[in-house]
Amino acid sequence: MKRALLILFAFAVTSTTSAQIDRGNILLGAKTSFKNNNWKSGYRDSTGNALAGKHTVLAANLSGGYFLFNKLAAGARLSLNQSKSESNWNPGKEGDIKVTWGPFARYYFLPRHEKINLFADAGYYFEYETYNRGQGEDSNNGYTIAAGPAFFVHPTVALEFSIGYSRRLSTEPGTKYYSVQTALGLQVHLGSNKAK
Amino acid sequence: MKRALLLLSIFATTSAFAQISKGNILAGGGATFTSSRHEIDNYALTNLPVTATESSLTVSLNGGYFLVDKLAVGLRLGVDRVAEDISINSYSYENTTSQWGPFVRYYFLHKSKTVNLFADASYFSERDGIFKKDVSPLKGYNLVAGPAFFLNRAVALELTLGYSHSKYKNRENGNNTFLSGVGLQVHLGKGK
Repeated sequence: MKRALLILFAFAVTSTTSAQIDRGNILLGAKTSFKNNNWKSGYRDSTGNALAGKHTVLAANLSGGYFLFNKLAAGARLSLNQSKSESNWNPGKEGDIKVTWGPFARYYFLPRHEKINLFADAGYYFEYETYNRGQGEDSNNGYTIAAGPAFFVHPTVALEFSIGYSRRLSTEPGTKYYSVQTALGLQVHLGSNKAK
Repeated sequence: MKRALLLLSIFATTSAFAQISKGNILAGGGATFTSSRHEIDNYALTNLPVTATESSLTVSLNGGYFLVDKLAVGLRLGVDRVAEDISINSYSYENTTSQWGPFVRYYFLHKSKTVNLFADASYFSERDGIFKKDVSPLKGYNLVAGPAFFLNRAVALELTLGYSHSKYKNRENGNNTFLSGVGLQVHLGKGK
């Protein structure tokens, strides 16, 4: 078993591919969803009307980057989460929104043809959110740094594992807000050197 | 406008060796774990330091296999966990839900097309916890369809519209949900 793993690891480390981290190529991430849920409950009010309503959720996570030089990309990220709900027992729409956006830069340390590469990613973010069903609102800004290996499973697709740190800068005196994040995901690379 | 339509028609009729042939793989999803800490040196209400920690785990994975050309079957798994601890009054909160289910997906146009159309049907079961037996799990199905634009042989940009129905076991009424989405789908396999 150990031998098989060693052979597999050695093969992966020494294999090369024309990874899309050359100048002019694109990093792309996109996932959006919209759900409109109409629900009806078995509960009834004194007049016999069933409790019913609807709930909508919009979630979008978009990121795009451009390789300004070989191995160095810069871009922007946008995240939007919005929820709204209303029911016949509580007329009027209620909901909250959270929007996060900001620039990022990413650098790959190993030669661009390596099948396993190492990257570091730094970003700055601005955030706006409402809470308590729109009764309160808050704005923040801060930075994130992350690093990890990227396994190019295809010239245009990398499986990435990262460990990162995030710090909110817009806190009141005497307060600190920070977080540690680990992530596993697929990163799409597109560009002039499309795989054939 | 005419030029845009012309470009679109060229794109729609262009062929590529899309990875929807027998033996290829559909892969997607990701996982994140975040642990956040909020420290206040002198909380106004108590004049004492306060620490709040929050951790969240989100896992969303999907994998499928093309049994025959244009027809894939697979599995989707998801876990969401949120936990909070606040030093005031030793407040703590934890909630975990998990979801899993099989799916089947069919592409209608020829496998060489750069723009294809697909339909996807899936069943899901959602419960509190991961391995805990839930007396009233939420069960349902999703039906979605839409175009897939193959940006290259391994990546497709997908637009979807669909419908979902779900219902808690032992409850009379269910949920009917309209779904729409945009996302990237990764296709891997022997046709690299």
